[in-house]
Amino acid sequence: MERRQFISGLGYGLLSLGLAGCGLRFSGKSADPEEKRGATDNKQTAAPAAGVYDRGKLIVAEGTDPNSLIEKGFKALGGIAALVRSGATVVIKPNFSVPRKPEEAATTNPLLVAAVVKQCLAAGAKTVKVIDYPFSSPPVCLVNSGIKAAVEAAGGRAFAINAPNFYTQVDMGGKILKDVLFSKDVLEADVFINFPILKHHNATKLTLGLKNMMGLVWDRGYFHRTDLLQGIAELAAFRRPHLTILDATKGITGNGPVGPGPIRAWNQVVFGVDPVAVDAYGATLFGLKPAEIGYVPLAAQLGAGELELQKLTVVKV
Amino acid sequence: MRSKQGSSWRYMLQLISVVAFVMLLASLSYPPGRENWLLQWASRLDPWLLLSQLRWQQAVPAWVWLPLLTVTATLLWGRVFCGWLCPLGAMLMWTDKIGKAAFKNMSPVRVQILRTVQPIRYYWLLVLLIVFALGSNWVIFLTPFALFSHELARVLQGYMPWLLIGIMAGTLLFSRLWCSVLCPTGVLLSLAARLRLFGYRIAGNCVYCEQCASACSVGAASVDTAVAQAGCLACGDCHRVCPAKAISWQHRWPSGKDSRLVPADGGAAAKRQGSRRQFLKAAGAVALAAAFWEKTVGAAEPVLRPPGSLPAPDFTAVCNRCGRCIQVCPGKALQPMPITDGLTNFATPYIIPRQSRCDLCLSCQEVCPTGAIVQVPLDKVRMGRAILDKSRCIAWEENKLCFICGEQCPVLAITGDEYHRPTILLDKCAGCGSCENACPVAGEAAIRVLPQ
Repeated sequence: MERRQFISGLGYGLLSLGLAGCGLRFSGKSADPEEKRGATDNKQTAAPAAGVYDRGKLIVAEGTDPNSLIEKGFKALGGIAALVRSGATVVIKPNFSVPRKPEEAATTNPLLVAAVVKQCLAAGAKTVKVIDYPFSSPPVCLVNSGIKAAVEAAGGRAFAINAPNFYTQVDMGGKILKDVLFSKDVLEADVFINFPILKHHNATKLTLGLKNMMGLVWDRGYFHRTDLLQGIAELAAFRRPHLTILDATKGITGNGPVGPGPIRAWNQVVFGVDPVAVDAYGATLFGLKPAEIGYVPLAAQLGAGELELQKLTVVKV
Repeated sequence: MRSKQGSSWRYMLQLISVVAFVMLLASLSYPPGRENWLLQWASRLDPWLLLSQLRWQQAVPAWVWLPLLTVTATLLWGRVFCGWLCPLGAMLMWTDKIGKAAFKNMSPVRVQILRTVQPIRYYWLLVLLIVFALGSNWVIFLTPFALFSHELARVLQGYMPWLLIGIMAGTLLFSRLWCSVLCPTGVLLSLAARLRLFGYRIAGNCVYCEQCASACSVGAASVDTAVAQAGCLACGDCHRVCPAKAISWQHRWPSGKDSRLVPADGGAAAKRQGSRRQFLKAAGAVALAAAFWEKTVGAAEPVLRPPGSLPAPDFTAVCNRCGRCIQVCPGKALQPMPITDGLTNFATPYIIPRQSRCDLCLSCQEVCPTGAIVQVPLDKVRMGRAILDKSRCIAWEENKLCFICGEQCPVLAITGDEYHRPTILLDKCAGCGSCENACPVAGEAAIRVLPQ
């Protein structure tokens, strides 16, 4: 096992060395056992977030114009070219799980998603797929959320992964998550960006990046039957996105996740490599402590990221 | 309506009608747009749909002029709707042409069969009218736009269109028997066409070759009467085949003074006998209608119907089973009920929430041509009501943080207590089935939606 660990560690090292211009912040975190298991047991999967951007940094873009929010954010991170190489396949996972309109603030802002799609394509991405596994039927969610129209106008493809053939079985090696049907598109992507909206959730208090990842799993009922919070945490430890972008421009503060509910605007978009840190920051926008969002501390315990915001640098742009 | 040119216009119109209808129906999807609008307009050309609206909505719809247009055209030129515009008619026209070519030597028999069966059509109309008046839209189901919609929707959903296949097979053997005798729209328009102003008639020197009679696909051309009968589709086949060029399109009134018109061969006795027969046939029609009515209007098993559906017995009576709601449903939640659930229910839409939930997009309300699914606003939709079996609910029984039913309820009809144990707010429940659909309990859900 040690030798394997060494070899895969070396692999990651070389990978991050190869990625242009962004230093080789290959933090000690990636040596955590969950991640290793992912890397060794599933050959086709489990490239954890290649340390393209600074892991210890959260970029908070403030404003109301979708394009400039996304531009500012990527610029502060170190440029999108570092993340998206020419010919890359990019998968973006926003939240369009519910049949709500953009102004109802229960789905990721389609203009923000489109702005990211545009940036990826400008950086030379071959394809940009925008996926979710919505509660309601795909046409209703894709149309109502405005995601389909905005993404297609930007040159990307938006679709729902609502059939078993979008999934492949992976061994997550968790306490409750073992053999799980997980999104093929994400596993095969060169770049995976998680793009949640910050909003209320009646069972887990908030929907954030880690919760958003549930839309990449075929059998969500299993989480609810066993242990929802632990399931979300183990999922976070299995597959970390290369980048999490949290849409905190506005969101519902009640009746989540479906809404409609009271809407609050923060006019922020949060960018971070560390998914736990992004969620921890999101919780504070709601006036909650990160530890109060059950799955966030659990994910931190499993080594998916950093819970303590004071250990991170928050850069406002 | 003369010569070759007329028929090529007709072929073109018929081709456009069939292709457009198929394409519009295939493209009917969420959110319904122009394709639905065009389909609705086409359907409304059928006077039966107007009768259905008057019968069930007891109000004159804004589109009343569309069916009146058809009726007016019929009063002028006879069944041009059937012969020139109807997509099902066009399909059967081609089928009949194939049949004629395939069974060439059967031609006299085909004409004979048509002629023999044709007299029953007004009794059949009586049956249809009685069934309709008593309260069953099975009559509307048999009208071309509903029937063709239904069969096409079946094909698009991967089923065999047995009815269409049956009707087409029948047409191969018996010419357009469907159009001339069985189609409710055709029969109704035949009645109106008795008063038509223009029609084909023998005006020149008839050589009694009877080629017109064997060319006519609805048995309306007759050398005896000189004037094409009411069933005439104004297709002009008789005119084209006539070797003596004796047939022409003319003003029909006044019709008399033609030596070939049926001579009054029988006296009063024959007339009396005729009226007794007529009476017996009419009585038979009433009996048949009563039997049919009972089979089609019986109380249906309560099931979840589309959002905004009329209450239970009315829904199956008004629905014409055109299948467009099923076709448009984005979540494939609406399914046609199988024939095993009885004639009353056959092909009406229903929802099995454990399989698929209703997204409450209300597209079905927009596409329904009959008003069986009423345009009800979302907050008034009551398809059913959810009931919770606490003994099977893992939140109540096993203290799980589940609450998936409350999480996914689109109308906020489920609240959770401090332990996230669900409670249903029945006054808010739309009955869409999201909760039952999402419930992670194995087998039957702990929360179920029962028909209203």
